[in-house]
Amino acid sequence: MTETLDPYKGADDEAYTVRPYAVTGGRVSGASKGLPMEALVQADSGAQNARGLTPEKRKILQLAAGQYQSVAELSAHTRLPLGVVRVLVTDLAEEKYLTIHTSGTADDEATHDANGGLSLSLLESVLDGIAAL
Amino acid sequence: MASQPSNAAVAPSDTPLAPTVVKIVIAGGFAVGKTTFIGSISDIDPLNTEAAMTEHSVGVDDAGGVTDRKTTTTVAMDFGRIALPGALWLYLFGTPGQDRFLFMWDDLVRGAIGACVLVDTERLDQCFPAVDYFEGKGIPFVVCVNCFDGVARHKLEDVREALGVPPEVPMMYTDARERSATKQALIAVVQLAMQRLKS
Repeated sequence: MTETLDPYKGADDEAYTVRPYAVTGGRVSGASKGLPMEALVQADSGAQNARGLTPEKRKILQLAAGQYQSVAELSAHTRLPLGVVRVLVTDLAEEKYLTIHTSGTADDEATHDANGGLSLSLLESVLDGIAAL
Repeated sequence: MASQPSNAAVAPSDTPLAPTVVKIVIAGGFAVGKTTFIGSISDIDPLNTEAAMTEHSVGVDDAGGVTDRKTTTTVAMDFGRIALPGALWLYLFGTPGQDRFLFMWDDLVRGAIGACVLVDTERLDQCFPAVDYFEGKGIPFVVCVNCFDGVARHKLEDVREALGVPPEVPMMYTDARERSATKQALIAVVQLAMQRLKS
């Protein structure tokens, strides 16, 4: 891992070398606000090589290259706050660098009713799955 | 504009469908064993995510006439992930320990199957905010009395009375270090959510 791709390396105690929201250009909400923290993100491998990306966006694309990573996992691995990752991920999706998958989350109308309750069939699958562990 | 068939909604055939993600919230007081509980069953080592926020601390430090200053506080949440058959991923999110961060829980519980409240009977009061929160929001939750050193020091019915939770809230002993006990607790949460749906 190169220095440029991991700006927070070795900065465990002082997690941020810049104010957290500086990397989002000061934006805190918008379309990203409701993005579930368990929503999965997947980037095309090679997307991180695109020009003009900030180190934070590059790191996110690298982590999600060819595999699913939740917004929460991206936050943990980049050591960026959840809200910041939400903004960056939403930007990257708008720029078509990555895809956001919300199947099963509160944003998925197929698995949640209007009150936010999960569907019985999904719960049954989860129950069977846990029981089989 | 030429009308072209949109293929935006159709995934390319070589792309497998993304997993369906569900979550269960693990709540309880500080150092009650939430991370141990998550780690006992998670496929990945529990990860830690932070939500930084800017707080106004008014009048805390009055020196030099500064009565309104901003400080950045970080709130840490631990979480884990379990892959279930049928491309189903279950996330377990631990709540931030201190109850002054209760406002963050709305974000955490949105779309969750339900919650598991871990209780340390030596520090019963620590789980009151969690119990109040889930009751208030109507979120299915089970109460798990964590038996440190594998010893149950209190009867479940005594704990129920002390917490003031109604009979329909399932209560059980658990051992946060034991995968099988954690599994039973998670099953109880899902079963409760299913009961709620059927009733």
